Amino acid sequence: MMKKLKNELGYFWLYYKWQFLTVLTVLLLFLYFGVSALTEKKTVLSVMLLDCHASCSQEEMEERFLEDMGFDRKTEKVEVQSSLMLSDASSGNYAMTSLSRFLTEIGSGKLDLCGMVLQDFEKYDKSGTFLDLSLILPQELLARLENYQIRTEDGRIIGLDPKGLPVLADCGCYEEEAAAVGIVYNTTRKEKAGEFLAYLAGE
Amino acid sequence: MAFGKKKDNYDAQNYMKMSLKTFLLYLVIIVFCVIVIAPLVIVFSSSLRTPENQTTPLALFIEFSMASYQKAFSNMNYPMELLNSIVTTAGSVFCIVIFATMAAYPIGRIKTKLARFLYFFFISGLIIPSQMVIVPIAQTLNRLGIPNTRFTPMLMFITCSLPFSVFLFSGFMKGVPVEIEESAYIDGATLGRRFSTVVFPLLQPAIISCVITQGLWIWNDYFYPMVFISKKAQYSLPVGMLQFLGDKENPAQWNILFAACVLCALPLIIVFLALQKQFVNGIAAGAVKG
Repeated sequence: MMKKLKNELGYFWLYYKWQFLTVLTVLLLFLYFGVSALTEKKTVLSVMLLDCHASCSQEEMEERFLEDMGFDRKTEKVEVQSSLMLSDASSGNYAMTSLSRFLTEIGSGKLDLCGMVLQDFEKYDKSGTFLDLSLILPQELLARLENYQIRTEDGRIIGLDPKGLPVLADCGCYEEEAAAVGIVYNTTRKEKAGEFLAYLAGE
Repeated sequence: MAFGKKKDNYDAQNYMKMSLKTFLLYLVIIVFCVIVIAPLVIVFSSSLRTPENQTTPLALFIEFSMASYQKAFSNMNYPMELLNSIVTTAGSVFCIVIFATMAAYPIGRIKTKLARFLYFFFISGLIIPSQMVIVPIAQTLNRLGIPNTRFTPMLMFITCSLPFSVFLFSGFMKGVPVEIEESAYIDGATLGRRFSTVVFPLLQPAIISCVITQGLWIWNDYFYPMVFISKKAQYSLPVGMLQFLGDKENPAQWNILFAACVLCALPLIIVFLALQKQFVNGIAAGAVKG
């Protein structure tokens, strides 16, 4: 009986091994993607800090923001991108790739908050990239941060100076250059982004 | 005798001319070799210095230290990034070869307007650089619910490689004799059987060319991994190397960067050295037909 089984298996392997391996590969891929999809954590906040020269790592900032904002560690995650550079990159290719990343994140509506050097911030706001913070943040907070507001000529408050945001200063972000942090216009999590900005301001 | 003497003089003059011509030719070749090899030697020589050594890179092999390699290896998380690079490159190249040969087979064989249209449809993908349409692509992936994982860059690599690969294989397919397939058809082989056992092995030189060109590009590319991957654990080797590039405030740590470059290129060098015989045989097999 064992010999018969061995013969049958040998026949199967000889004539159907590629079909078997293909089906096995497809099943394994389905399993992998299925498990990944079921165990995927929901992104509750996406933050991009360009040219920030942070002293703490991306992972440390994500952990800190996750904990301080009270999100569920098991099912939720905060995404922080702090290694991208536009103005300060020593390589043009790196700057171009960082810009592509920035544009894809905004274009796909994933980005909530963005920080960059003031010159770039004002340049990108010309195409309406950032929301008016007076519509999102409480008036008391805006009054407290009056000296750190970034205003446009028509009076919109489009961003805040990181020097007025103690949490960012604690992470060593934007210590030297003039910069701004604002909420992206097409974010689907406006309230959450506003809460996060208030948290960064020490609320 | 006089005739013989003249012939000797003629040979001597000719020898002098040939020698000068050959000398100039060799000189040009040596200059080109130096231009190509010099940067590689400078990179390797600089990688053998300590990170603090700031002397000019043109001073070759003044120090022999593995400190830069140790720093690059530890800062980069080299084993994880190497695994990511291997998975991405091998998986992408495998899919490219399978899909491109299957796409090129009907295009190379069927002589209809549809086949011609499909050929130009694929070729048109070569005209538009993918970096230009990266934002609509990201929007499409987002709407399709495809998350940013290590497989998203693979999807981009496969898609962007197909135009060139289909162009390569369909051109080569036209050189594969139809009679071989016809004889297999007469023997009762199905379409899939004809493709897998008759046509596919004959495409070996084109497959090797495709593997080398696309594999090199995918291994060295950092654009798609940087745009689509957020987690550090999923970074490939080129993305991991970027941390040594520095910025205007903190200049690049060149010795460590060069050590990282050597570490990044090392797997490809090993693969090529191990398989160079197969590569050369495969390409030569296509050169001699019949």
